[in-house]
Amino acid sequence: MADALAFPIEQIPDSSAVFMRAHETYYRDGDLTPGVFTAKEGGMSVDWDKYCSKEETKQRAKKNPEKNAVLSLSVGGIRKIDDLDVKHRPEPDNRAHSEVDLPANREKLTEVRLLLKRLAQTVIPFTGS
Amino acid sequence: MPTAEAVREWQREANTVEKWPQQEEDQELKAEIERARTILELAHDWDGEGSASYSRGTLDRAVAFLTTHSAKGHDLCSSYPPAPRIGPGPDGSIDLHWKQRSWELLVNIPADDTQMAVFYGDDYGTLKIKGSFDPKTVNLGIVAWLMH
Repeated sequence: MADALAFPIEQIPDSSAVFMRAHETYYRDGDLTPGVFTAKEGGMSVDWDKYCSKEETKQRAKKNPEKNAVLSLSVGGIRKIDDLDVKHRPEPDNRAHSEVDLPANREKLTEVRLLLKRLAQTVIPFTGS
Repeated sequence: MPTAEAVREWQREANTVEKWPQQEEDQELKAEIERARTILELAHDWDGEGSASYSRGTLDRAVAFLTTHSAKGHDLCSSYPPAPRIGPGPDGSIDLHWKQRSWELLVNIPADDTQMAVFYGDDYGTLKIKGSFDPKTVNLGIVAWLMH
């Protein structure tokens, strides 16, 4: 039954972008800091722009959406960073849901976080930035 | 045998020496450390994404690393390295992030004090520095990077 309701898993092309929220704490003087790039329950959650707007990503914050900015990262750009990939992992209430599998090795993760920070563009600033 | 006048002269000189400025503090770093204490106010799930809180022990280790490396830089080059931004990292760890015009460096101090600190930096080109180290020791490679 659940399978019948599930969204199909698709291949995300390099030309796509994904959105993710960035809490205001991760900004200093208007600059994004690399702490925002962290895995939760396996991967780093992002929304595929094919099925989601940046505003929808912002409003999905479980707490205080107004305290979140929204970042955009190009899928092709993410895939150019070492072995990173972006996989579509739709959820029943979010067809756009996707994940970036970050490295478990902390040394590697530190490098990847810095490179992701350079790639990210703030497409919705939080109020006050 | 020195005369009383000569002794007074010596005392004046000694007093003058004592008033010479001590090694000035790294004020930029001191201000950043003060600001970083707000990290300790972040409760579990502070961002609604399940992020961990930050312990005083982790922050203290980050501060000890910074003050040690700042002092070593001063010893070697007679100037202090730039101060980083001290911020929240993954899983209760603390990030020390330097973003300069010609280089960038990220050091991560783990929440678990039995784990090594890790770092990555580059010059936005081909020159890179990365690895892990015991944050209780002075890493001369990092000092050299901060001062270059």
